[in-house]
Amino acid sequence: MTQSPIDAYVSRVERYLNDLPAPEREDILAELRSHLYERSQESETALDVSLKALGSPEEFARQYLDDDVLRRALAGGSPADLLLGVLRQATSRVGAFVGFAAVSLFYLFALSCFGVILLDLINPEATGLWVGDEMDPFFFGMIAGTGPDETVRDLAGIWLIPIALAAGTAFTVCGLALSRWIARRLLKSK
Amino acid sequence: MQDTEALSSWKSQLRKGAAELAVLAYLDRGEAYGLEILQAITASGELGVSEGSIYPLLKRLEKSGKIKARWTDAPDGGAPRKYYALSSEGQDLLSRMRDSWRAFANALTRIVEAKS
Repeated sequence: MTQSPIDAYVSRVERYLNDLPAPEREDILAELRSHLYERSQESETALDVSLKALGSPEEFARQYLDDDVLRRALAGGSPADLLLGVLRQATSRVGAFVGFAAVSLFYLFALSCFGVILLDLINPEATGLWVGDEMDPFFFGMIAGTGPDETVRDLAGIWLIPIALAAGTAFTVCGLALSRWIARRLLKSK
Repeated sequence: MQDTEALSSWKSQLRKGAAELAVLAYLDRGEAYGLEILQAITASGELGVSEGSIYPLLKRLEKSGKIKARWTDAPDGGAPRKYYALSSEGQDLLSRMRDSWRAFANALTRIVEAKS
């Protein structure tokens, strides 16, 4: 059995709208079906013109998704939801791309701070906020191999964990605030 | 060539805000369904509403409570239609948008059309 062009288009849009809540998805699809049906009643060519004007099923569906993912992420999603919501638009909007990169950088810094805490618990002797090494005059983390020698000294000492914790938290909070701000801007600029 | 590009990017900036106002203003005349709104708005051309963008726009306006929707049964055997109408919040927004639009259009016209 061959599908009608309307069914074919609608079912492809449906696949892309999978992430939406069922009632909203049904509503969108019913309206799309109704639209295409009325176009098809005008003439055979009107339907073809209409299908072309709507764009690919993916493009059409994405207009609902981009916003929805962001909106839901803003209304109580996890930091990862927010970041992914911004990433979704990064391919089509420069602002979203730059924002995604900036937020990722913040999270990466946060992750390295928390990583240092872990290293300090595993190998406290070699981990610190080091200064003095000629090759790498400033270094936050664990010195691999034989461990520290006389050329370096640890600035942080026993304060390493509190400092790393504070910095890590600050980076996380900034990253989160930035991603919320970007998400709001993206929604507003539509 | 570059001039055409500059013109079309300026035009798309200009249209960005127009679509929402056009939809709300059209609905101010009474209830209407998507295709009807689309045809009315695109008939006058230039307003940056396309077949592909009208439904997502209507959904955004519906979700933010500016318009409300209801489904009606199919007119003589056709497909059911989704009719939209302004909510009181949308009515409010529209009248404020109208004021700013008039002020904006007047000010701009005075400058653009002025003969020195």
